[in-house]
Amino acid sequence: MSGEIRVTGVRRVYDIGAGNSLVALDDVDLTVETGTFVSVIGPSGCGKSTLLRAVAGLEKPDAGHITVGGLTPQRAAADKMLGLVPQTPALLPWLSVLKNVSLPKKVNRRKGRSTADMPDLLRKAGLGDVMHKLPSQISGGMQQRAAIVRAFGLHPDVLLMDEPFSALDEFTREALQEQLLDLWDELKATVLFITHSVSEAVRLSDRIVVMAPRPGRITDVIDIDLPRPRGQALLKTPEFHAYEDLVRDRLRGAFHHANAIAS
Amino acid sequence: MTVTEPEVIAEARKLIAPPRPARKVSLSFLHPAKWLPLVLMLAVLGALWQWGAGRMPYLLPPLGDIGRTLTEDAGYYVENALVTLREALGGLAIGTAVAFVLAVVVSEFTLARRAIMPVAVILNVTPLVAIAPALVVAFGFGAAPKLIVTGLICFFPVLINMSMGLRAVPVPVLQVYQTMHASRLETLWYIRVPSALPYLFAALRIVFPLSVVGAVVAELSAAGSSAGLGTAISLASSMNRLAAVYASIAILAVLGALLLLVVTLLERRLLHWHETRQGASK
Repeated sequence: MSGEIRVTGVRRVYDIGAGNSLVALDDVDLTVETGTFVSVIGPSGCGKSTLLRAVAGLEKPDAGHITVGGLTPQRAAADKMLGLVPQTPALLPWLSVLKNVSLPKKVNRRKGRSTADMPDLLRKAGLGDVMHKLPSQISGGMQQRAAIVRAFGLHPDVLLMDEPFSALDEFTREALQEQLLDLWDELKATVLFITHSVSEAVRLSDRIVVMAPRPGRITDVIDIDLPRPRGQALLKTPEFHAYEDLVRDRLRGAFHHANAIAS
Repeated sequence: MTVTEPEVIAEARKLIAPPRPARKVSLSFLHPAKWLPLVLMLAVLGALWQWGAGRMPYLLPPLGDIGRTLTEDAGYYVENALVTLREALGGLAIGTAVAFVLAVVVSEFTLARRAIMPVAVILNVTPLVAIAPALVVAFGFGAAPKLIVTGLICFFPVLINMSMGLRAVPVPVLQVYQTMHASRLETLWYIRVPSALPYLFAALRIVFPLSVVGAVVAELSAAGSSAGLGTAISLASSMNRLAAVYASIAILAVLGALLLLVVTLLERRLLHWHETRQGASK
């Protein structure tokens, strides 16, 4: 079982009308080894979400190619190798939390993957008491946790997360990061995580990919060599801050570069 | 969506707050503030009616006469009401079912949408009162033209709302299930159809009472019909029996109100999860 993501020479251009076009991804190369946690960070418009959608098979690159575990993204999706956690929880409002996270089992049944014990997984995520409630009856943080459990439930080889915590407040965000790491530790998957929070990227990742806009491209790859598990205490250590500063500097570089080209 | 307070506090709040009682029968409607305004309004309207009836007996029959007609000929009115109700419900079922199926077709296949929607719109803007006599010529005085007219009246609101609802699923939801390779049929059954239910019910709230209008219009244009409240009205008015005309009208009003009640109860059961309903129960 392999969950390696391989992106080679990928280019994606959007036609934005009036003969203009926007280069969302320009010759992007990226390899995410099986079982690693990689974050993509960059200013808005740098193509990080486009990259994620392309890996998810939701968008076709104009040039280059992408493989997930050696397969095309579409084949990987057909084999139920992918789990997607979007920015909004995207739960179905008429189903209880438990039924929401169990629905993936019912679709595309031909691929009978070993699935998790959902009530158990919900309890581990701290949703044991609310599993029979409707999404509208629980908090935003709980909804997003349910979305993560839904994605983990199929034991995907690759988990794709598109700024999943960006709409949450600081406290909830940190609690959810910890729970995500716990779940990831247990269920092991390759994770591609899009974020615009520096500390979030440093805390979660084995590697951080920095992107810059116009055209969208990778400007830096930073390995995060911090011990795991990464609990609350780690956030206060000088090593952690050093990494934060490093990423922030590189990000600033990406910004300046972008502005220099624009002007 | 933003969380305005730390989740810990939100969760604590949920622990402290007592669970919402499961569907308690509310007696608040017994409070005079709830029923008194309506009762007063009805009393005023009744008094105005009686005053008018006293001055213009050839335009308005006294309420007592209408009541007497209803009780004396109760069997006749029940029989005709049932005929009209059967036509209304039959047309409603046919129109809604056809619209439901077409809405699925139209929302799944762009080419079908381009072919069907313009025809549906033209059909909708054509006055049905004008079509009804032609249908009677074509299909005779039986149930067929009534079912067709009623069906046509019910068809359009359901088609428009349902096809809108089927396509109103948030993109992230579709993307989540697309990355699991959910088939079109699975997406339709598990996601699109349930999402469209609130839209469907918005249409049904209009269409349920409207079905009675369809049935009566069809009966009125089929001058030789043998039964139905519409027929009863045209018969009574040709004999200048005003009390009988208003007796039928009163029953029609009650039928329409009952149908609205039925659809409201159905909605309350099926859409308890929906935001507008949750807002209503608070």
